[in-house]
Amino acid sequence: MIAYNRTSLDNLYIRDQAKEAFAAGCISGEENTKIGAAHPVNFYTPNYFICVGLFFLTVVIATCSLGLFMLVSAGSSDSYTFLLIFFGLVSYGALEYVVHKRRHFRSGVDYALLWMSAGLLYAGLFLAVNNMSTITQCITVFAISILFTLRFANNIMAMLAYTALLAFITHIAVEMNRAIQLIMPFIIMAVSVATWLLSVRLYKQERCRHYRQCLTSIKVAALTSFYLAGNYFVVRELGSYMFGSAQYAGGISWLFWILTVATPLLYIYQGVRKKDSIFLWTGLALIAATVYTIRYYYSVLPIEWALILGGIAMITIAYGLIRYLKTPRHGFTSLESSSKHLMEKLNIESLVIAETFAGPTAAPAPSNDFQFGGGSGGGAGAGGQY
Amino acid sequence: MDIHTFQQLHREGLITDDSLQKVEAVEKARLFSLHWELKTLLYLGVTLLSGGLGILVYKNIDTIGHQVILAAIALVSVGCFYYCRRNAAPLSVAKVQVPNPFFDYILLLGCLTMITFIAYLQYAYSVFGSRYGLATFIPMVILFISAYSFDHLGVLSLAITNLAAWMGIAVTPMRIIKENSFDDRRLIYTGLFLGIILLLAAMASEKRNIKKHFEFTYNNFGTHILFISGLAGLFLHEQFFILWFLFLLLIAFYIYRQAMKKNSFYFLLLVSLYTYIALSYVIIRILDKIGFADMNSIYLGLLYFIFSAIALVRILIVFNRKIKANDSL
Repeated sequence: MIAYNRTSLDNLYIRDQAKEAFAAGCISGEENTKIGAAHPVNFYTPNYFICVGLFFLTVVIATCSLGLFMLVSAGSSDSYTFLLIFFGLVSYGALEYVVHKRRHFRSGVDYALLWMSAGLLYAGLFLAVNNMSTITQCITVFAISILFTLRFANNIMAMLAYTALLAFITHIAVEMNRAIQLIMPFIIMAVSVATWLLSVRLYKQERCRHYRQCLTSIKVAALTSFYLAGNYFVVRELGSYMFGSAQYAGGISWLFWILTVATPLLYIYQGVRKKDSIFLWTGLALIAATVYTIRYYYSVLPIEWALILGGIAMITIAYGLIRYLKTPRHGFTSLESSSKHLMEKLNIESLVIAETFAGPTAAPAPSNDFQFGGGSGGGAGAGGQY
Repeated sequence: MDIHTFQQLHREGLITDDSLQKVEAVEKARLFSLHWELKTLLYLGVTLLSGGLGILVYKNIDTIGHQVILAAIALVSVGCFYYCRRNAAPLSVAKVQVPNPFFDYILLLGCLTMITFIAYLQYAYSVFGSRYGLATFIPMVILFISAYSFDHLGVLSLAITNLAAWMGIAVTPMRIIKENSFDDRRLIYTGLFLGIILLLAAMASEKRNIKKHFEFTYNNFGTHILFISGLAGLFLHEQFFILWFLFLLLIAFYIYRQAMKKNSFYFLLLVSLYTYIALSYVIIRILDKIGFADMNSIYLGLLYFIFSAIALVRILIVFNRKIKANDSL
């Protein structure tokens, strides 16, 4: 399904792993070279800055060509529609050509063509149908974005597809009777949980190994949508906007307050327990949303005191944890764990020997010998090689 | 590191048993690092705190009074500089190691509060009167001295910004477009002069071996300022735009040579984009002057853009290949 060459994608992954192992000092230089030779990557991926340049230039070329055609053509709205769809298909054709024949991979060109063809196709279809209803719009966006996600494994397309799905469900509920509208948030929450479970399951599968990045984005999106479906502000404002009248005033609004506060805390707890950074970061980010929601409805403190107290609280917690976790505890550390020279730092040789002699039953003594690099100051200025 | 991948590599005979064991041991012993989460939390806390304090001061300025605030800011600044002086590594022309992770940020805080202090002094009491040049000159000197003696790239950027301000231009990209009208011809010539000075400073850093790692920052600022002033000159001088265009080509050629020497994608991209803007402007101007019937020149214009963009894509790909060939990475 994916347009990029699968063997090259696999080899790219293997090469990256080998590079990491080499930097950590686990494999030798010649092993690294041997692996590179045995797993060749046939992609054209230029330097980051060249990618940026290529992206802008491709957009310029496509836009000017479209402009030229539009000027030359008759100018009735029908011909515009046809032109947009035609150009969308031409861009898609160019994209397939560039990916298959020229082996482009994450060069600016394929990004630019991807977004231009998706955008043009959608615009063309939108104009083609008179007064396209919101539901049809959602279906169109979903169809286009899921096709592009499957074909090119683009993260943003994946999130767009998920958003379109949720929008579709919400708008269908508008048509339905009152009872369904009342349990709308719970439906969205159920969909989020289902999506999350599905993405976890697919992540583990061998077939979907090329879509791992997309699945991670979908995981984050699912966690966020679960939170938003329970967030008091969203439920109340969106509810009254879409379904009219104050929905949950009184009734079960306490439930949504509980969800608003508890969900990010639950995410953080889960992140700490399972050592999962997705949960951790999502939880931390959503705490900000919760604070904002609470402040919207109850002015607890004047803004400057809220900022000062919040700032002091964050600094204290952060500083405290940094000091506490300087020596590794419960498998956590506050120091940076870069792969470079990990072997020397972790005193691996002794570990390997200990394990070999002690056998599988004895766990190697961890922790106290490890020196994680403290980093050589993270300078705040521009540095590095370009 | 993915254990399955290495097991597969082992099966293929590409890595030895020893290597596989090392990988497995490393992965088992790997700790979950909360470094970036905690750092982000710290930064956010600092931002919130300073924001809150700022608002508090702003709301209560009448009761607190300027003197107390000035004293507080001065205290923070002096304190930071004192700390840096105590803990700094000895002066040297080579790159100096940071004594501890907080050092950089304390120096930055000291410099920022120093600038705030002087600006506040000028605003509240007009200490410098109308001698605005002096008001920017003093911070600039302090900043340059700090950058060189404490070896801090961020402070260097602040110092260069102050230099530009002192020369009458706002250096940061956002403000170039917003605040500066660039109608004033003098500004453009000042900009060119500043750009050339910065590029010379970059060359001096490298040749004389004085803080070689400052070279990139000087080059960066210098290139952008030189090009933007050049483009402004091109846009403004309606009669002599060809001359300005040739001048820009000269600058572009010089920076292109530098970029090739240093194998730098970044500067190559800058040269390409700025030259492309200049070229496009000139072509549009010429098309305008020749003055066909309206629609024709628009068609020609669009065709120019299409073909020139394709050409530039080709050129960028060639650059990429050239630099990759020279690169050892």
